[in-house]
Amino acid sequence: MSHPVLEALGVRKHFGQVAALDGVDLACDGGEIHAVLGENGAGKSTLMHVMSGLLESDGGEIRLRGSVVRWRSADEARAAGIATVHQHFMLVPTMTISENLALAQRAFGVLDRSALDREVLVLTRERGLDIGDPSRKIDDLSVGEQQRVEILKALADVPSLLILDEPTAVLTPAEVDDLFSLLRGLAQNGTAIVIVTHKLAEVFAIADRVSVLRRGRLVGAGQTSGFDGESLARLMVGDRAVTAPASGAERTVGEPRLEARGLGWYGADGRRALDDVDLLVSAGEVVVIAGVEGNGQQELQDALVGIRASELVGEVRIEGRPVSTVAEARDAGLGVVPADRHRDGLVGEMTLWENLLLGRNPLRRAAPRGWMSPADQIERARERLASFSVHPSDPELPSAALSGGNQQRLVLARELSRPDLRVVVAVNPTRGLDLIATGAIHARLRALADQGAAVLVLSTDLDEVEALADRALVLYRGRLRAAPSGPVDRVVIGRLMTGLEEAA
Amino acid sequence: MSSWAKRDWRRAAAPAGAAVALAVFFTGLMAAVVGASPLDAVGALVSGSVGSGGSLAATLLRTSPLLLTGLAVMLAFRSGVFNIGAEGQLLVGALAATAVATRTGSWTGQAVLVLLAGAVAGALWAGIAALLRDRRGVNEVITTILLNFVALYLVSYAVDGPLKEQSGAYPQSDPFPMTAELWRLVPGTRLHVGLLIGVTAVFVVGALLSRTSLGLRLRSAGLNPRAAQVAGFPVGRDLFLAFAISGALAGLAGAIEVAGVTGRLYERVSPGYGYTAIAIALLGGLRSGGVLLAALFFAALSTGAAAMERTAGISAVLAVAIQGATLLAVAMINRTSWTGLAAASKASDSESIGVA
Repeated sequence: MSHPVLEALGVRKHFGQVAALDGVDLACDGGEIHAVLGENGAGKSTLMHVMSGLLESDGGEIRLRGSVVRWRSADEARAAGIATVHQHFMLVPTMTISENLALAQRAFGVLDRSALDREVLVLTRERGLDIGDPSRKIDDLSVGEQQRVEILKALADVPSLLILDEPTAVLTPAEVDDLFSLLRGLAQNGTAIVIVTHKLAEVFAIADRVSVLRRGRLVGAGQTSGFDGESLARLMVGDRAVTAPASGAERTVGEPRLEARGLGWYGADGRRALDDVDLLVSAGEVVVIAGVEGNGQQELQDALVGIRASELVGEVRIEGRPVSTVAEARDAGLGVVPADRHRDGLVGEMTLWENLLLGRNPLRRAAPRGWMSPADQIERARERLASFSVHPSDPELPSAALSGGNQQRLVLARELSRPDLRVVVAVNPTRGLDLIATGAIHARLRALADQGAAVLVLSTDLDEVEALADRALVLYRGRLRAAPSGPVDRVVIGRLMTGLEEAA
Repeated sequence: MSSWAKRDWRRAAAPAGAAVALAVFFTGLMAAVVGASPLDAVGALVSGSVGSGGSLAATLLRTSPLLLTGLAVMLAFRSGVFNIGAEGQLLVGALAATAVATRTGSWTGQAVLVLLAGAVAGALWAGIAALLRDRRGVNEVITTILLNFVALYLVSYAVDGPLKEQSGAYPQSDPFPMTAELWRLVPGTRLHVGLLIGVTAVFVVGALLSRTSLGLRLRSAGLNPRAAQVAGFPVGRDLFLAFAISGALAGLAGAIEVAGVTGRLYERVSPGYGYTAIAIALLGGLRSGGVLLAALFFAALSTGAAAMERTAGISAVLAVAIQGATLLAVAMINRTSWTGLAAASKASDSESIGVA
């Protein structure tokens, strides 16, 4: 019997007191797609980091084709054919696609840019992964496009094991299909593939085998065909309830709360990130704007938050009053869950309790005269962190120490617990979150609308559109289109999102 | 003391302890290299800096300007402002203080106005760099360095022009009247109230950063300016405040130096305090308690070096080499100060974000 390409045996890893991995086994066979399933903080990413040489384990061993290896660095693992596509992109934003690929290939000396671009185009054709014009800067790409560059970077080496950490979080349904057929093709050619996910549907859609992690332990593994959704969900979350509470009572839609008129974002180079967008969200309703990443979501978020780029025209009003600065929008009762929590929502080096005060209104409440007591704020933070299930909940930890899902809960804990909340703008509020957390956040957003807040969600996830929307809109190439009224029809919205269909 | 405060002090104390140990090691090494007895050299360094009342007073005297400028640089770096201009702000502070001391006669309470003038002048001088960054996006590393030279030539013009002594013999100002000088703390030494001001500033700056909303705003803008903007913080106004407070501390250092130590203004009034301050801020781990220890350490090293030259025959110039070697070694051991530096430089690069 041939050995697995890469195998983890009894791997242990501790961070301080916390056991992130507690004796985990995982075998990756060539030609097989292996899903690693688990909630946020279950240890999936840690396991991948250990296997790909980013982290050193505290115990257990890693075997490459049957022989024990000790990665001294990620480079060493890469040289041995272990490629990783990380959840957080490892790209140089100010450099072009080609330059990033050249950098990954350790190219040095004089670079001929146009030759490089041509090579990249050849590579994209060979790997069947379109990334458009390779001379574009990473900064100018959407998150989805950036991920495609990451995957291409990993594939350039023709790896024997490809690890993908939550690869579908930022992709549209069609892009997910493309990715999956790409992965199937790679597996057919003998590549071992590990896909880290917390989405059950993906396991059944793509994986031959599945391993389930819960709190650092392997709680189940086997052929995917041996499981059903129910059994996997139970393994993943333990004995807790999986279903989200159903939507509250019939809401009455109240007066207009958030209005945008004639919003346009017209770049000097002719780019129209937003094109004449009119929008109205009333008290007591949840409006969801569906759309593929990079169709103007970032610009719309910034405009609604009150960040006025010089390219922006048009007007935003909250409760009838024009708001043109972040301070005005915030004081009018705006809570924001930004698309990029690392860049816009948190200060990684600061503690949890300080991050809870990272807003002009919470800060003013904590320090009415400009003076605050850290000890009091730490105590107050404890309750807030507990009620939003942020884990670990030590207020004095830096926020960078939290997993992605818990960081998102931290942002929500700050933004949604304002007593004077009038309007919520949330961009992909459940990205990277597991089933339970997603259900809890959806319930919270709906509850806010029930209590009379106007809730606007921008989402790339059709499940989320379906779960939340009283009314759905689609943002495509900067233009806003209304989906047909009535129950959310994912087929129609999917077609609108990809520009296949004009609005009714 | 809460666990929170304790942790803060422990973080500051570790690099300071390492610095002292390394300084002793490097001193011995230098002595051995130049053929002197390492033990004598270290002995002279210690006794010359803290071994007697007189030498301790001299060390503490040196501490004041280093401490205040160190705090100035630390506060700026924590706020994402790369203020390399503490030297210039100190000089302008000394200049303004001298103008008040030597051109308004002599009256009771004059010293207070002298110090105030220094602080205000330093704040305004830093404000020039703030204005250039806010309005034109000019990197403050460049503007503050250049302003250091402008300040230096301004002082040299003033002491040979409008503020030149009445007797006109040398390029220096008139001596300060008694009413403009700082109170002595210990009779028989030159140790003055400036040390108390410096130590007070340690607590004020520490509390400002960790216990006020302004401090939280400044730190968040320093670490992640975009998040501070989305939070709705007045990022533009806070930027000016960071420059101004930093400049005021450095300007105050200049005023204290002329009103407490030199008693008059001349061109070489600062032996580069504002530059040493950068090293002090980093060695202190960008924390107020750490800056205090680092300032004491640098002050002791420079007063001790003079004694070392007299007794062990090792040139005082070597003290500078010891300072440099120690700083590099501590930086290697303790990377937190450089993490702060990286964050500060990252923040100052994010000009494209603009200010709401």
